[in-house]
Amino acid sequence: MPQQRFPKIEILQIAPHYIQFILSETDTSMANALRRIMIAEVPTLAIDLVEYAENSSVLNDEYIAHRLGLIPIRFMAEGSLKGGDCHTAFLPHQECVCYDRCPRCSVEFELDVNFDKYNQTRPEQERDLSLTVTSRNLISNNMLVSPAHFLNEEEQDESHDEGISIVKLGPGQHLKLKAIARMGISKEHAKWCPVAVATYRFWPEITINQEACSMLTLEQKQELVEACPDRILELDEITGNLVAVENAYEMATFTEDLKVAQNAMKKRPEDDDFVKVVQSQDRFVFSVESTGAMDAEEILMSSLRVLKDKLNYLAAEVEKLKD
Amino acid sequence: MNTNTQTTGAPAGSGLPVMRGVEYRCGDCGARNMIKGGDPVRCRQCGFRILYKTRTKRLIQFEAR
Repeated sequence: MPQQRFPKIEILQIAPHYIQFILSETDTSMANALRRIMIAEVPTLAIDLVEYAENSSVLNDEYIAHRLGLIPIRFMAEGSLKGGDCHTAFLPHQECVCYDRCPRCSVEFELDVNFDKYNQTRPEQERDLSLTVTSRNLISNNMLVSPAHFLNEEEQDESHDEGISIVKLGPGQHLKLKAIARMGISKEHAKWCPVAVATYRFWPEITINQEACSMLTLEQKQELVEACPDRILELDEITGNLVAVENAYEMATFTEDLKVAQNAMKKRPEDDDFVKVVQSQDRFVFSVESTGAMDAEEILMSSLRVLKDKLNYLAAEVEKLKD
Repeated sequence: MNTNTQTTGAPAGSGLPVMRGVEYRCGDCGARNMIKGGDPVRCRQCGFRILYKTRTKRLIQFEAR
C-alpha cells in the first residue's frame, strides 16, 4: 500500500466573499479535484422555473427567465449569518417524492411590479424616470432563502445599490411572475456555480545559494533583483544579502528573465545557480471568490464534503467488486 | 422552452361553445378585433391590414436556462 498522506490547509486570508489558503502535503490531482468540485459540484439554489402571469415589459419572457436564473440565491441556515451549504435543508428536485414541487425541494419567489402603481408613490420630479425591477423585488416564501445582495446588513444600509437589475419598466408596463428556485450543481447549468473565481497556483520554492551569492557585487545583486519582472527578490538592507520577498507566492509567475540574468553573471556555465525558483509539487495556493450564493469558507467545506462522498462511494463500489 | 401550447376555443362539433376566434390588436388604431378562420385580415374600425396577436391570459412557464 502506498504511503498515506495527511493533507493540510492553512488559511491566509478570509472574508465572507473571499478565501485564500494553502493546501499542502498532497499532489496536483487532489488540488485539481478540489478546484473542479468547487466550480462544478457544490450544490446551491438557483431559479429554475418561471411562471408568468403578466409581462408587458420590453424584454420577452425567455430573456427575463434567463436573467432570473443567473441571480445568486443565498441560503442561510437558521440562526446563522453565513450563506451556508443548502444540501441538508433541501432535496434535489429529482429525488423529492412530491408530484410537482414542495417546500422540501423548492423555494418560491413572487415578483409583482406595476409601473403606474409605483409611480404614484414617487415624488413629482421623478415620475418621468423609468423603474428598474431588481432582485430586491423578489419576495421569497422561505425566510432562510433570499437573492444574494450584500453580505452583511451594514453594507446594505450604507450603499445606494438597489440590487441586481432585471428589467426597466415604463408607463403602462407590468411584470408579474412566480419564480421557482431549486437546488442543483453547476455541472448541469452554470447558474448553480457558487464561485466566481476558484484557482490555485503552485507554491514557488525559492532557494538562494548564499555561498554563491557572496561572489557577487552589490550591483550584480541589485541587477538580479531587477531582472525578475515579478520582483520576487529584494536586498536585505542590513546584510546586503539577496532574500525572497514575503509575498513571493502571490507574485512569482515568470522566472526565465532571472535565469538569463544569472547565467550572464556566472563565470562558467556549469557554476551553481545563485537563485533557483521551482514549482512545488505538493503545496498549492488557492484563491476562491464567491458569487454571493455562499460564504467562501462554506464553499470550501462543502467541496470537501462532496469530495469525501465521492471517495466513500468509490470505496463502496470497490468493496462490491471484491466480493 | 415554452411548455404552453396555445389553443383557441374548442374543436368543431365537440358540443362545447363555438369558436370565438382569436383576439388581435390593430397596428394603426389599437382597436381589439376578434378574427375567425376565413375572416379577412382587416381592422373592423379603421380597415388597417396589419394586426397583432395579443398575449395569452394563461400562465406561461419557462425554464430559467
